[in-house]
Amino acid sequence: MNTSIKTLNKSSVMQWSLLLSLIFIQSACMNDYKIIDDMNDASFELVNQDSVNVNFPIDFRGQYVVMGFVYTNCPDICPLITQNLIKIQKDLGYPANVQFLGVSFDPKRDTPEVLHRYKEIFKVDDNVNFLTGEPTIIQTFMDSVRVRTQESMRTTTESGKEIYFLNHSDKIMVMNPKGEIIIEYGGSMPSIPSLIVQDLQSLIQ
Amino acid sequence: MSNLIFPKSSASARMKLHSLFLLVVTTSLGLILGCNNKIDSPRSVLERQDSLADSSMAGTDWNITLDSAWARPTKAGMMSAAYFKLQNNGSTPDSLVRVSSSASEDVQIHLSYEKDEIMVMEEQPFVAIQPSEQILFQPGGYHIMIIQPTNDMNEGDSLSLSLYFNSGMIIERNIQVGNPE
Repeated sequence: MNTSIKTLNKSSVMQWSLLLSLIFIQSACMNDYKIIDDMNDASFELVNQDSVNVNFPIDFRGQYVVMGFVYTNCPDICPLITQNLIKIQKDLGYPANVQFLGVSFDPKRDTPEVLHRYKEIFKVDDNVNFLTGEPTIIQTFMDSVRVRTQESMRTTTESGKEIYFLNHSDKIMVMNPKGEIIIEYGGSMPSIPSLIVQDLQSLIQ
Repeated sequence: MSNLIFPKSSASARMKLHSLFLLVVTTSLGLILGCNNKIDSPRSVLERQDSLADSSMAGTDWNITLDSAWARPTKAGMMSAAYFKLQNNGSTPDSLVRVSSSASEDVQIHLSYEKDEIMVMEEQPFVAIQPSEQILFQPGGYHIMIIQPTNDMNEGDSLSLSLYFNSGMIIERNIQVGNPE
């Protein structure tokens, strides 16, 4: 009799353990987003394409933010990053509680006026903003999100224009309503929008 | 000691060595022949030590075609890029050495690629194209940079693009603004 009780107990303990493990694994898989960067201590005074002052991340608390890093003199990679931001917004069905940001790491040339023109090219809606700011603030911002830039080419064109280009990190990030960056992907790859949309849909639900 | 490496049945070992040698030679030949018609990715082009193609044979058998050309929409004074597919159907190698366009006085050949998790863009002095080779100018790779165009480039507009080759040949084409895909 004692033996059968012991066997029963062992068996039910094992069943319960298995069930609890499954529940734990499932919940871990559903929301397993590690905090990559906690932006709560940060406060960056920036300005958008309409010269409206914006504080990052304070002005975005309570909302998801999908954020790419670009410069407008970049003819090839940055338009891909911008197009990916737009595609994510479209594929999510233009959600009102998700903000989309393109932050310039070339603040000397990317003034609000230039960013306004850049935004016009891509015909995006009000939930997409392009941000710039004082060069020292932008540099601190980029350091805090580990976006690296370096001047690559300074050249005088045939018509005498002096131009330069920047090598840069290729990233799109997602910040949650608590001000924590939880997802980071390569920004320009064509496969990125579907991955981010999938992640955001599971988070927003 | 050598007995340990080539034990008693040395004839059989020699056979195995011969077989191995034949396998290496045939695999290498296969790889060399198989690679002749490959589509170059930017990285492989970059790693290949390019040299200007020999154009001494350029003439009647010169047959490089340009297809699927388009340019990115932009505003006057900003940046754009043009993309296309180059195919060398002739029997002589050549090199794209210069590009011009009605959209801007300043047009350059560029290559974007990733290096150490950083996106890099470099001006290219030329792009060599071998017989039977196809080179894609596409987002994230080779592209023609149109610097600060004079006018807005809106979807549906067209602009002229001229490609100058080392052989002296020129391809002139009107291309559409806006990605056709």
